Amino acid sequence: MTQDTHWTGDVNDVVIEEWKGETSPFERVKEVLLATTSFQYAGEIADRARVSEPSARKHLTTLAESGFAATDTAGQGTRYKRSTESIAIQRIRDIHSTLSREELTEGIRDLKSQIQSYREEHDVTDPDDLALELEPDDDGWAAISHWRAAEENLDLAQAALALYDFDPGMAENEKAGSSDASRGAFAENTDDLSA
Amino acid sequence: MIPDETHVGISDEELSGDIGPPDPSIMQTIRNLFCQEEPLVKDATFDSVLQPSELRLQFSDGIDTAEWCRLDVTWFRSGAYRFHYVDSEAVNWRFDRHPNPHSPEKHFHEPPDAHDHTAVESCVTVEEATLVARAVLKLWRRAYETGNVDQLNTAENPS
Repeated sequence: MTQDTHWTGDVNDVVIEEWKGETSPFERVKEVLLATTSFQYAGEIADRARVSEPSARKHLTTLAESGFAATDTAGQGTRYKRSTESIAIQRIRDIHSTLSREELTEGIRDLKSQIQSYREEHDVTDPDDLALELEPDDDGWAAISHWRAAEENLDLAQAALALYDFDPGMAENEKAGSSDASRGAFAENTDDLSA
Repeated sequence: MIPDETHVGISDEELSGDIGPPDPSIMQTIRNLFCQEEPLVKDATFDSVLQPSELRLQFSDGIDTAEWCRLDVTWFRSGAYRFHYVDSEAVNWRFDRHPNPHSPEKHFHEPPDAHDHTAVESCVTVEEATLVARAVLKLWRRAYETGNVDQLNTAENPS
């Protein structure tokens, strides 16, 4: 079995050392960046990734150039977060390659109906309004999380569906007599794009 | 139709703040980590392609007499999370982080029932998804190899 079972010391310190031992500074910066949803300075990301600040800055520049990081230069230096577009494209690709046009259409109908139910049940038009209304002890916080997800998933599903109508590969597939024409243009390509 | 909110994610009664939506991208990172690091993970799937809200890690063996176990994982955009263990003996426990009315933000719902309303402070203090996942995996593995859930929420190894 594994020798790790009987670690010495605090498990929280042990996992940090293990992470540092198994990954390169670049991999850690990328992992941390991909979990960064609001802008942070390179120094903050360096602390979280357990790398030096110059190292973080260098890798973040690379990640911004390759489209994984969004940058903000309005303040005292550059701030970074994960690219919303990069995350969305990965999800759209995944959804498009897995679900048929019919499945997507049905999923979109279901999501719209969910969103409508949230609106009717809580008598507000979007989850932000509901969040403003709620006190900590109130019911409804779980609904806000689900509702936010439903709004995003609806946008992604609609983008994935639109890809079925923008499909440069389709004509060739038909010529080749593809038996799986209900699948999307990326159906053969299910490479995992995540880190 | 609104999905049943009691079975996936964190229940309404337990939640007292805005934790954002589930974050499928981070859950994918957690999935990759478990598949790489833990040979007993035999299946790792999301509950839905279009509405992924839970990663289900199926293990081919469970703690003590359990024949199998499963970790249900949700990571939220805010950094909130839920790692819920259930096995063939109906033992449940859960490492959570989220605002709630009952206990510290980072808390542990103890076995065998993981009651919603009672929890103790969690021994997991790291916050990056990759580190939390590694810590939960190590704590799970120690319990698996010793066949004992009493030490699950103890960061130090008994000497």
